[in-house]
Amino acid sequence: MATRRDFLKVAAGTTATMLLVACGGGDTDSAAPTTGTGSTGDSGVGQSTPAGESTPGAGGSTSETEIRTGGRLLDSLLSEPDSLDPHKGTLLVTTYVLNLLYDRLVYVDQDRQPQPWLAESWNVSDDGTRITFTLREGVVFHDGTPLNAEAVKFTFDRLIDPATASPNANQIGPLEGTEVIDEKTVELTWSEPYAPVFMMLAGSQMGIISPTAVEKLGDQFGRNPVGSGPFKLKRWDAGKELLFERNPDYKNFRGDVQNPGAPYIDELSIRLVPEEGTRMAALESGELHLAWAPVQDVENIRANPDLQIFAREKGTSWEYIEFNTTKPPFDDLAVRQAVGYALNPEEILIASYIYGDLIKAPLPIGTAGYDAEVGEQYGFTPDPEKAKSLLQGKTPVNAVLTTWNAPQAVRAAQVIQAQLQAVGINVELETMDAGTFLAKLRESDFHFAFNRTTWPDPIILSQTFKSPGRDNQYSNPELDPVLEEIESTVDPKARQEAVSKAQRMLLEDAAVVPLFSDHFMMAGSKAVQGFFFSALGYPMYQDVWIAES
Amino acid sequence: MVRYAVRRLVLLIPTLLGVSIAVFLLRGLIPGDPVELMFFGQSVDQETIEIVRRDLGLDRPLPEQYLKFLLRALQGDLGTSIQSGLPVTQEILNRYPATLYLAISGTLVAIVLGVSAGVVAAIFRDRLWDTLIMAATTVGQSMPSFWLGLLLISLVSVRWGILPVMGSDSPRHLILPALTIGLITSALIARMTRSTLLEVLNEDYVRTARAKGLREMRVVLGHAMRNAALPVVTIVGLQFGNLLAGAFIVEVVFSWPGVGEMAVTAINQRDYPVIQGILLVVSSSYVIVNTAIDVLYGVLDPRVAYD
Repeated sequence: MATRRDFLKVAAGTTATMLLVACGGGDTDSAAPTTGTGSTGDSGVGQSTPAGESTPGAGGSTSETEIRTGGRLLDSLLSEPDSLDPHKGTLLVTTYVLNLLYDRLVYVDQDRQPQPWLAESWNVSDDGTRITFTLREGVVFHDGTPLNAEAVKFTFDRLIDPATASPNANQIGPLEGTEVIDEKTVELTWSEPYAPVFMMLAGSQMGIISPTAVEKLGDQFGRNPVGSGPFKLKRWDAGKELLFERNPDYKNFRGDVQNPGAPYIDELSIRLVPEEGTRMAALESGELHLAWAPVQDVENIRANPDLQIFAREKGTSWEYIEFNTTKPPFDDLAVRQAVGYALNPEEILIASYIYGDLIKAPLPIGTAGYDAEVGEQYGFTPDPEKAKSLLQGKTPVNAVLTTWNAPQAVRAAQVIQAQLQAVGINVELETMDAGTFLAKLRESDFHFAFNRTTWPDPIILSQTFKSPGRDNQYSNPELDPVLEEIESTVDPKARQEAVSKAQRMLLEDAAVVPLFSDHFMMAGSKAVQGFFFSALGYPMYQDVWIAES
Repeated sequence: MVRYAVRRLVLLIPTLLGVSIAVFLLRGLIPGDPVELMFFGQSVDQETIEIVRRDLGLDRPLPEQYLKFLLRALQGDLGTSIQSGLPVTQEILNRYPATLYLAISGTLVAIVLGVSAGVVAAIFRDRLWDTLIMAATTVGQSMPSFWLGLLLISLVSVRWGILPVMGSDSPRHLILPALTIGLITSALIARMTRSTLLEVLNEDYVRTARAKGLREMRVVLGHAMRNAALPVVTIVGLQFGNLLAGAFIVEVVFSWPGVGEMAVTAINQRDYPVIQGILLVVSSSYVIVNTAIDVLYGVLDPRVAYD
């Protein structure tokens, strides 16, 4: 049935914060959370729907009356979260779980614009260094502590306190301090303008935490989290299951969630199931309602009358060729360009991740600032003849392509190898587990790599390409000031100009060959209703209810 | 006998010390950095990485890190997990029983299946039963456990819906995982039982027993088996290590909450304290089980010399 729920879940599909191995300690399927197209087979539903159309109470459709409350939703994750203290947890799986527990000041809508959440409004100072947030009244944490300006100050003070040594502190940029103006007004001050601030504040690691709980629990807070989110942690059996119960007092302020109050389901169980074959079997046998779907199983799942696919398209991950431009053969612009023209991203996608959006500009398609026009104008189109002519008169190119050993990455690398071979570039493949791959890149010990990263903000450009490059792979003094602008321009319009310019310069210098943005795929039982992905890629459960089956 | 047992136990100390050094050095052989991996796929500056590394003491020289590790380990403290920040000893204590439970159940399945199949094969030497059992053990020995596990899941749980796919909530959850590791280990035990039994059946005393007119059943199980048991027990002891390792994989397949799943995750994340802790506990179990088996020889076979 094409209810507005179906509509919504497509509408809302977009990004995750980080990626890959993050998704699983389970490297065997490190890139598993990727997959297909469209929801429930009705892939035609427009995903450009503004989230605003689905604000709570936006017209009671018939499905509203059918909603069945209660029950336990059986979900799964590939690996265990590290710490549920948002200032300590770093894994991708952790960010999903934090999203259940902690509300943030703002959320990001489908157009990548910040929208009010715990903050009902805000004001940015003229120089862009101060933001004053006005908080909603009457919000309380799970332990009854009021969520007020003090709590917000406590959260950000703790985040940037060197004693906390938070690995997530960098997300808030050069934050200097937080000041309580009154009970419901709080002001954050940065030493210089920090452009990605709203995108970052919307991430689940920036959730507001209960000061009383942190003081009481100390080190144990990460195991006994207290936030103000729609779910509370009820039980955590290490290696086995995390069990959440609904927060009965929850009030929703997000425009992309329809349910105005507490979640419909009583409990949410998240089982830890590292092996993909087991996940799919458990889904078929009814032991799970939801599970990340391996790409190769998507067609089978669609064909199964009891199952459905929830897809997250236009994601914030991208797959690309990263060059080490500091040594031969890719210190030569013409050789890099030849690679760009020799490759056919569509063939690579079909052979590897199967489901994804082709990109020509160097940013994930769902990341704010992706400029399709720049991609069209300056990007690469498959043209083997042009590649050959670029290589004419040069010594034969031999290069090693490095990638990690997820099946999708290996298959992509094999196709890349064949396509390059066709224009006379000899490629040797080198694959290794994700940890080793990462170490090799950081040591700059590679020629070129098939890589994948995820980030919702274009600051990823500066983090990847600002001299000398994240992997000491690229320097461009002309590009650096543009990248610095991306870091510090708060004004969206001016910032977009810099982001577009950087994408153009990167393509002109063939610093990178963008290939595609893969889709995330969740497989679910047909009984699951109302599930969707938020714009930042979080699985959302507040609208979920379990239909009788 | 007692002196022999005590000597075996004293020898445990240098063995375990060696194990601890090996465990500590091995981690250095895995390329990749735990701190980098904490942030894989995220954009993080080098400064943050350095802060976290210092925080974890990973910037100290290796011998210093080892001594700290050893001194703490002697007090039962295996450090703190890089990933979860929880004490490793506690984590292992919480989860190791589940692994042992699975490994021991698997061993029992393996012994029962392996020994009976081996005995049957020996009795029916070169006849149909023998051929079938030997063919089955060849398949069993070459089959990867994760594959057998998935096969059982898709058949027994998904197709027939008889047993649950995953978890450990009830004894019913134990059946498939225990069967998976048991079946594979039983293959080796069956072959071993068959060959030693055949050897023993040629001995004079067996002929004597038969000549006395004892029933074949009594000859095989009462007389021959007792002497054939020794090599089989050795194999079971040696296999216990494989069983623990097998349990790791099988745990992942069946989402069994033991240390296996924890170890796999820890290795992927280069969570050194957890890897070290699990390796130490598991290799110690192995060493201890085999010491126990050495001692057991004496019980089974009084001819074993104690000097």
